[in-house]
Amino acid sequence: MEEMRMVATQTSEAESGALPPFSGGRKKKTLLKSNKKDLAFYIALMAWPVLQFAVCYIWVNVSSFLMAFQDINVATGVTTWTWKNFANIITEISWANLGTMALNSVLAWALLLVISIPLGLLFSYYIYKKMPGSIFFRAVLFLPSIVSAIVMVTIFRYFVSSALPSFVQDLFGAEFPNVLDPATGYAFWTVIFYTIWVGFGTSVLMYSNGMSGIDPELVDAAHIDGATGIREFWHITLPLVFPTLSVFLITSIANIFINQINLYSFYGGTAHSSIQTFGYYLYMAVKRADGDYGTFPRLAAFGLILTAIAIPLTLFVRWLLEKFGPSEN
Amino acid sequence: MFGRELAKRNKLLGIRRERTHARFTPVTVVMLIVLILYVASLFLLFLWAVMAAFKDPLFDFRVNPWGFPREWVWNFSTVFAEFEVPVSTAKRIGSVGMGEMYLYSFLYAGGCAFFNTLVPCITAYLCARFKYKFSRVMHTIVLITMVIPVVGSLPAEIRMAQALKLYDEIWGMWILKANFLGMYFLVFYNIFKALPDAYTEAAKIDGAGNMQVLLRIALPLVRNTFFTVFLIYFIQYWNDYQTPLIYLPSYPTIANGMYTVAVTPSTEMNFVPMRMAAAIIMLVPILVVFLVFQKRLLGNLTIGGIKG
Amino acid sequence: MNRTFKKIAAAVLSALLGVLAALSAVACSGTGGGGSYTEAIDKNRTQLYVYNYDGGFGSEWLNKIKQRYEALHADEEYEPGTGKRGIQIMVNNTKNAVTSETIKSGQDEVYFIENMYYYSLRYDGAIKDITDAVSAENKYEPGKTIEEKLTDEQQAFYGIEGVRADGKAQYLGIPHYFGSYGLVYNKTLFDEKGYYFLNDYDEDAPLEDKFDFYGTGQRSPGPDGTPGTDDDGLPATYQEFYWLLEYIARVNLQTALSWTGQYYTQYLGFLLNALVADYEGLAQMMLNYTFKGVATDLGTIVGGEFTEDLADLPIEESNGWELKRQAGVYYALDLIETLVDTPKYHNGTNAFADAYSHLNNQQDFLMSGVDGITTPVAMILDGMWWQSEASQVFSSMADHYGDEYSMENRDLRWMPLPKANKEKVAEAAEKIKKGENGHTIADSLYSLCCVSSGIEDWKLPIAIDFIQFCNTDESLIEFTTTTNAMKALTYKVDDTVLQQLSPYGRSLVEYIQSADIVYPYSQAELYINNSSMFRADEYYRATVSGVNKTYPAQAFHVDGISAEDYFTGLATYYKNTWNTIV
Repeated sequence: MEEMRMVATQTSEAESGALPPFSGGRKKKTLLKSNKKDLAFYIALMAWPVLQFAVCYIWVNVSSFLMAFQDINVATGVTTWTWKNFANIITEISWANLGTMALNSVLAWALLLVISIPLGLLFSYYIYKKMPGSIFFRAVLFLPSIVSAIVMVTIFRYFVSSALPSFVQDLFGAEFPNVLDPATGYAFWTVIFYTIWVGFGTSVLMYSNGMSGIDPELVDAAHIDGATGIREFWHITLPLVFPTLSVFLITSIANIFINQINLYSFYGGTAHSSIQTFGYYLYMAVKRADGDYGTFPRLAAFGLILTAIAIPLTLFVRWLLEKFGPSEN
Repeated sequence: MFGRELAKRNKLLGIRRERTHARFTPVTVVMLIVLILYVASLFLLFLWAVMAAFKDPLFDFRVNPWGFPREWVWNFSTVFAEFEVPVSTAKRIGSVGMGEMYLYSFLYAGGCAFFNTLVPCITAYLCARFKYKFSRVMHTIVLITMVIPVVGSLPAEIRMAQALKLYDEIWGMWILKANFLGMYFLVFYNIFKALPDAYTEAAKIDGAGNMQVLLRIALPLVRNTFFTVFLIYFIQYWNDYQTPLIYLPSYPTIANGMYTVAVTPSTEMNFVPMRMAAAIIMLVPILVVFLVFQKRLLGNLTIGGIKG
Repeated sequence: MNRTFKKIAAAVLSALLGVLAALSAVACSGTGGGGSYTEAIDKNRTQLYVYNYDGGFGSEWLNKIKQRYEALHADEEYEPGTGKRGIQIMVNNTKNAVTSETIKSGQDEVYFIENMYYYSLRYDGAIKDITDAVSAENKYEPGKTIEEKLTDEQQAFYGIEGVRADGKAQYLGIPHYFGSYGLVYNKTLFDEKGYYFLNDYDEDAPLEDKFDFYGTGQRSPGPDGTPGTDDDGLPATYQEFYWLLEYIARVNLQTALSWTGQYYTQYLGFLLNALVADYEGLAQMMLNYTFKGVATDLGTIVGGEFTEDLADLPIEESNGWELKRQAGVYYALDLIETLVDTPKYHNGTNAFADAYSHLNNQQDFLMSGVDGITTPVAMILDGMWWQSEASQVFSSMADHYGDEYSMENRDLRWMPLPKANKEKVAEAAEKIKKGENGHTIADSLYSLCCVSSGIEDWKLPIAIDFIQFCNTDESLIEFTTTTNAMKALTYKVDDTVLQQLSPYGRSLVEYIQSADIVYPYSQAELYINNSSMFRADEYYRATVSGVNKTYPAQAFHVDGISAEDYFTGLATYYKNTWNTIV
C-alpha cells in the first residue's frame, strides 16, 4: 500500500461547476497593499507545515544524521566523534556486494520503468477508449492495492511455493521449480514479477483516469485531422498525461535507493546477496541491529552515502524534465 | 488548427462524434486477452485464499493445499475468539476485542488520512500560487525527503512523541501525520500550478481576500482530488499496523490485531487457513468502503492534468 | 454493461454488509475466550504488573507462580493506610516486542523477555538495579542466593563491577530461560524400524548390517561413548549420522531429516553453532565472546584437508578473528554442507521452500505416517521449545486419532548431537568417567528478567521480592515440569521430577543436565558494542571469491560453495572487517 502510486485530479464537471465566471476589468492598483496581505496570509498558513516539519522531521532525524559521525560505546556509555563509519560500512558490505546491489537496484528500477509504465499506458488507453469490459477491469485492477501488503505477500508466497507445485505435481506429474529459491535462478525475476503484478492495476488506473481528463474537443479535432490510433496516442494522449509521468519519473529516482522490491516481505532478513537491493539491505540491516546501538552509526553512515547520491540525481532529473519535457499547453 | 475549428462547429451544430470508441484491431484483442489473464490470475489467488480459509488446517489443508475443501470448516469462530489484543498501559488494562479495534481503526485511519491530505494540499496551494523563494525551498524539501532513507530514528521519534504528550493518543497521531511531505504534495502542486492566474486574480479584484480565494475557489476546485488522496491514505492507514503497534498501545487497531494473529500467532492461530480467515475478516470492511466509493475513487485519478 | 455491473456491485455490497454485521455479532459475543490479560484489577489488593513474552515457553509457568505468590502474601499490607491487603500479580502475556522506551514508560514493572541486549537496556537507562534480589540471601530459600545459581560466565556478564558504592557487582537483570537448536527423533519409529547401530559392526559391511533390524542386538554406546545410557545405538559420529540418514531414506524410503525451508538459513546456522560448541567445549567456545585466553585447535585448509596449527595461539580482542579457524567450525561446516547438498538426507524441495515454515515442519513430523497418506519423518531440526509451539497439533491429533497422540503419550525424543569423529566420542566417555559433562550446548535466546526503571520506589522491594520467589529451586523446578524445558540457572532436577515430564521433556532435561552450557556473551567491550554481530546465526560470515556471504547453509545451497572454501572465507571476512569493530 505504501508503494501505491495513485494520484488524482478533478473531473470536468467538478471544475466547470466550481469556477467563477471570469471577470476582467479593474487592474493592479492595490498591488503593494495586497503584497503585504499576501505575505501575512502566506506566513500564517505556512506556519503549521514548517513547525511540524521542524519538530517531527528535523528534530527527530537530526540525531540519526549525527549518528553517522558517532562512535557509541555501549559498555562505557561514552560517545565520541569519528569519520570512520563511512569507510567501515563499505568494508563490512564489500565492494563486490555493493556492486551487486547497485546492479539489482538499477535493474529493478529500469524494469519497473520499462515494463510498468508502457504497459500501464497501453492498457489505460484501452480502458480510456472504453473497449470491451473497461469498467469492470478498472474496478478489479484496483483490488490488489486495497489488500494489506502482508496479506497479499502471504497469499502469493503460499500460492507460488506450496499450492502451485502441488497442483502441477498432481495434475501433470511434473516438478514445478521452487521459483522463490535463489538456487533456481528465478528468485529475482519472481520478485520483480510480483512487484509489477501487484502494482499493474494501480498504474493502469492512474493513467486511464489521467486520460479521461483530456478535452474531448481536442481528440475530436485530432480525429478530423486524421490522427487516430497510435498517432492519436502518441501526439495527443501521451503529452497530456506527461505531468503524471513526470512526477513518477522524479520519485522513481528515489526508488533506486529505497525500493526493497518486497524482498523483506518474502525473505525476512535473509534474502540472498545476489538479489539484494540498496533499499533492502539498509532496511534489513537496521532491523537486524535492532537495539544494538554500537552497530547503528555504520548503518546511519550508509544511509547518508545513499542520500548523497540520490539528492543530486533527483534534482537533476527534475531539471531535465522541466527543461525538456513537453509543456502543459 | 483546422480540425479544432471543425470540432467546435460540430459541437455547436449538435453533431456528436463517437469520440472514445475505437475499432477492434488485433492489438486490442491481444490487450483484452492479457487483461482477462491478469484478472483471472487475481481471482485465482483470492479464490485460493478463500478456499484455504474454509479448510481444516491439519487434516485437510496440509495434504490438500489447492483443491476444494473436503469438508467446509468454519474457522472464523476460532479466529474471532483469538482476535484480541492485550493492553497493559497506564491508561487501561485488559483485552481489546474486535468491535473496539474497528472503532480505533476508523478514528486512526480517518483522522490521519484527513490531516495528511489537508496539509499537503494547503501547502501546495501556497507554494504554487505565491512565488516567494521559500515556495521553491519547500518544493525541494519534499523531493529531498523522499530520497532520504532514515536510519534508527525510532527511539528519537518516540521520545519526541512522549515529550509533546502525543504518545498513546489518537489525536496525537493526527498531529504526527499532519505533514506536507510526500508525492501528493506534488500532485496538488501541479494542479494549482496549472490553474491560470486569471481565476484567482479576478476574484481578488472583486474584493475576495486570500482566505476566501482558498476556501471558495481553490479547495472546491480540488475537492475530488482531495477526496481521492484521502481515500488512498485511508486505505494505507487502515492497513498500517506498525505505527499503532508502537505509538498507540492503548488503542490497538484492526491491522494491529491482524498482525498479532498472523505474524505472532498463538498456537491456535498457527495455521495458514486461520491466517487466511483473519485476512478475510480484515479485508471485508475495506472492501465495502471501496465498493461504496469505487466510482468516486476511480473516476478522478490522475496527476496534474487540468484541462488545457 | 454499466448497469449490470452496478447491480452486481450492489448485490455484493449488501451481501458483504450482511456478513460484516453477522461477524461483528459473533465478535461481540465471542470475546473473553483464550485472552491473555483477562483478569480485572482487584481494588482491595496491591498490584504488581508483570510482562511475559508469550513465546515458545508459554505463560502457564507464570500463572502457577502467581497463584502461589498471591496465596502466600494474602494478608500482607503493602500500602499502609489504604486498606488494601494482599497482592495481585497482573500478568501481561504478549508477543508484541518491547523496546527501551516502552519498558521505561509502560505500565509493566517486572519483565520476562527474550532477544534483548542487556547492555543496551542499561545504556538507555531502561532497567533498574536489582542487586538486592540477586546477591543477597533469598528470603524464600535461606542460605541460598540467586547469584550462586549463575555460572561464572553469567556472573561476569550480568554483574557489573565498579559501579556500586558497596563494592558489590551491580545486577540490572538476570537470565530467564534458555534454549538451543538440535535434532528431535521419533522414538516409536526408531524402535519399530530398528534405527539403532549395533555394537562392533563391521564398517565395510553393507549398510543394512550395521543396524539393529530385529531390535534384539547389542547396541553401540552412542555419542557419549558410555554403554547403558539412553543414547545407546544413536549415531555417535558424523559418519554414523550419514549412514543413518542413508539407511532411513534409501532402505526404508522414509524422510530422514526435515527442517523449515522458510528459515533454513537460521535453523541450519544455529545447528552449525551447536555443533561447534559441542566440539570445542565450554572454554574454547567462550573465547569467541571473551577474547581472552589461548586457542588450542586452530587450523587452515591445506590441500583440501583441515590441518591444525603446530602452536597454540593467545587470543585477545585485536586478533579475535583467528577463532574462526577453530577445528570444530570446519567439521561442523562440513556436516552442514553434506546435509544441504545431499537431497536424500533431507525433506527435498520443502527444505528450501519459502512457504514451508517451522510450524509446517512440526505438523508434518507429527502427522506423517499417521494420516495414511504421507510417509513418516524420522527426525526434525528444531528448537528445544518446539513442543509448546506444536501443542495445538498434539491436541487436535489426540481428539481425532485417540489419546496415544497427545503430547504426554507420544514418544518423541531429543537426540544428542553426534560427535565429529571417534576421538571426540572417546573424549566424551573419558570426561563422563571423571564425573564431568560429556556434551556442550550453546544458548541462543538471550532471555532476561529485569525491572523497569519507571517503577515507583515503594514498589521496587516488591519486585525484588517477587524475582527472588521466581528463582527458588521450587519455582525453577515448577518451570521445568510445566514447560518441559530448563531455566538458564543452575539447579538440579531429580528422578522423581523427571517422571512428571513428557518423554520428550525427560530426554531434553537429561541431556541439558549432562552438558556444559555456553552463554554466548561476555563483558568484553568488543562484544558489548557489537552484540548483534555475535548472534549465532550472524557469526559465520565469509568472503568467498571476493563476495561476502552471511549464511553458510545458503552459500552451500545457492552458491554451491564447498565447506573448505567457506571455512577459509570465514577467516578472510573477519580478518578484513575486524578493524571496523575493534
